[in-house]
Amino acid sequence: MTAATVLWVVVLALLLPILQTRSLREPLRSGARLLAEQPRRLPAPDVLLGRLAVVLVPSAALLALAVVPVGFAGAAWLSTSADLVWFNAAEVLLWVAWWCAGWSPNSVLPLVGAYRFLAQGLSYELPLMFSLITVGVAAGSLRVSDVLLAQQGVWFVVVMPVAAAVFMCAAAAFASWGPFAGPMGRDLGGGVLAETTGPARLALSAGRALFLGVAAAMTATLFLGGPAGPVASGWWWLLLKTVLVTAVMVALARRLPVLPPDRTVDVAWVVVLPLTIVQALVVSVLVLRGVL
Amino acid sequence: MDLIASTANRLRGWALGRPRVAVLASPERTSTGWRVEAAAASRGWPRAGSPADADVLVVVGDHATDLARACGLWWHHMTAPRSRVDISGEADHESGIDELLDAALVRLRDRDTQRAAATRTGEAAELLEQRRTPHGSADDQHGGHDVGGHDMGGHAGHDMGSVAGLSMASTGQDRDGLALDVLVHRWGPFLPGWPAGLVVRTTLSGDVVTSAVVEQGPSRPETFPRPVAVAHALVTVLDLAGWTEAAKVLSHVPLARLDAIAPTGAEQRWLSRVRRSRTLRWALRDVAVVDDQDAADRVAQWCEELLTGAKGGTGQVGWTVHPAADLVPLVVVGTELARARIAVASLALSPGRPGGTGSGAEPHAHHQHHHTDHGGAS
Repeated sequence: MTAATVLWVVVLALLLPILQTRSLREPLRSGARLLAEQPRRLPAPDVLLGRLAVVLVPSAALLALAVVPVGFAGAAWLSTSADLVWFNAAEVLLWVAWWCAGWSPNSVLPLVGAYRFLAQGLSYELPLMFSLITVGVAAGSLRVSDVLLAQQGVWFVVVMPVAAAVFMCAAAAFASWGPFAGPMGRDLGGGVLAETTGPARLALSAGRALFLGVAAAMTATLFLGGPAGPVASGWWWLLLKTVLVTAVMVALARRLPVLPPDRTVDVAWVVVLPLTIVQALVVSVLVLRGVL
Repeated sequence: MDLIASTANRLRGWALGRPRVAVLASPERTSTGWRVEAAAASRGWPRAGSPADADVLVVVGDHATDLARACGLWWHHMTAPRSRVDISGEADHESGIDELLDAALVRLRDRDTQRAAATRTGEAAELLEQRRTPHGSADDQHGGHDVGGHDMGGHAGHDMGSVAGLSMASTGQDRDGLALDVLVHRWGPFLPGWPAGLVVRTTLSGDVVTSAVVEQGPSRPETFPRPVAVAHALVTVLDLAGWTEAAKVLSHVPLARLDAIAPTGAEQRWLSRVRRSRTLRWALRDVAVVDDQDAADRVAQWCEELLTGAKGGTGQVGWTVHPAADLVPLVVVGTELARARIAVASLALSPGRPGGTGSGAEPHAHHQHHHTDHGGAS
């Protein structure tokens, strides 16, 4: 891990909370408050799975970050032959993590929050996979570096707007945030997080914020050309685009209530999933005809 | 060393500078509760969603024994650092409330007090000991006011063994005929976005409510002019529906209406935005259908009323911010939990009887069990 990556971790973890609270100080203060707070344990908790969740959420975010090209030289910390699948796998770890976090306190509300997350997962996971596949098809590769090369002419958001929109929504959904915050909803007193206090809560919340930041950076990479810019390409362009993506997410979230997971599932399967398949088809045809 | 210690202390003080606050107001002191919430909000103190989330507990009103016990449980579930304020007399006026909140913050930041409280071990063990009782009585021991809610099992006659003195969740058939864990959860009497004093015992299979019994209604809920009660119901529904921004912007409309202050420009913009929102309409559709109106219809109507209605407290006096208790089981059974909470909130507006007795149900008056016919399943 380089200094660049460490800086990016800090920036990405704070970006969304800062934009959301419109304050530089308050996100840090909430974090500090949680550090000063006593941990809490209800009778007969599942300690092992609870700790697993606390480790897993931030780790999954870091694993996802590994394939985002955030180095000063524009290279990712890790380059595999299947970066897109890697990112997907890191995100799938959240299924386990949120479920464990909801299960472990031995309490009804977090457990219901965990159920809700699984229901939500049924909605977003397949559309997310199809949007990643579409990117892979257009680039002819699952490597992030190839995806960036393929966008030298035109950004992917132009050719595949549906995939880009679905990716952003799915990011909010796997982090259980904004209009997809049902699993951690106020109607459940915080749902998955309802019984967790202190450093454990800090790890879960910070990991979630970091994953949202990473997903915003990944959106900028896969659909907005990443570090490429009209003049003087470099990491600052990626940062700028990431901030813009996050700002759009925050602005949209302000205007929407939480989408009930059990109703969202209808829309996801009847409307969104077919749309992503059509999007993949259109892009495939464009690739076959040599347009892309 | 002194430097390090004082720096650490200052850091701690800074970290606790915006504590999360929970206000538990008894039904007859609802408006005082709102004033405390408004005072806390103006300091930038966020509202806590659960006892685990709360740092400062404000108890408003001279509680009857059972409500006092519920407040005790909230307090018990809060972790250090924590601080409690009791407003029982007439500390209504702004300055009195501010002084009390200041004092709460000082106690919250006092290291020695908090350390003593935090090292007071055995509280959890005590609770566990209370529960280590023969099956069936676990609920009674627990007092039925568990807001944090880890009240699993205790279902009729199925002995599934026990872990750490708690009975295991038994299984029952869900709406698709699958054997699923049956969870018992009590809502109330205090919970953010919940009508204070109302206690509903629900049985859940997964996250679907299979039966609901109103165990206790509010005794003498405060009554308000209609616009005030309407504004409060609207904010509550928006908050539970997860529209945080709208709820935040509109949150002081009820109090403003009580003081006969007209909505500001921003509030009016948000009211019409909420009224027009298709997403909200879609999310609330078919929730709590009463008299051919669902929650979405009621929300739109409330926005309309607030936008066009009287400037202040000129409306008819005598509305409570509580639902008619006999409606609650009817709209809750067969729905998913989130929708059940919203259903109750969307009905939390009913004409109170003169003299303020309101719509309160007598304890244990309503026992309704519904196991099938889940109308709102899609």
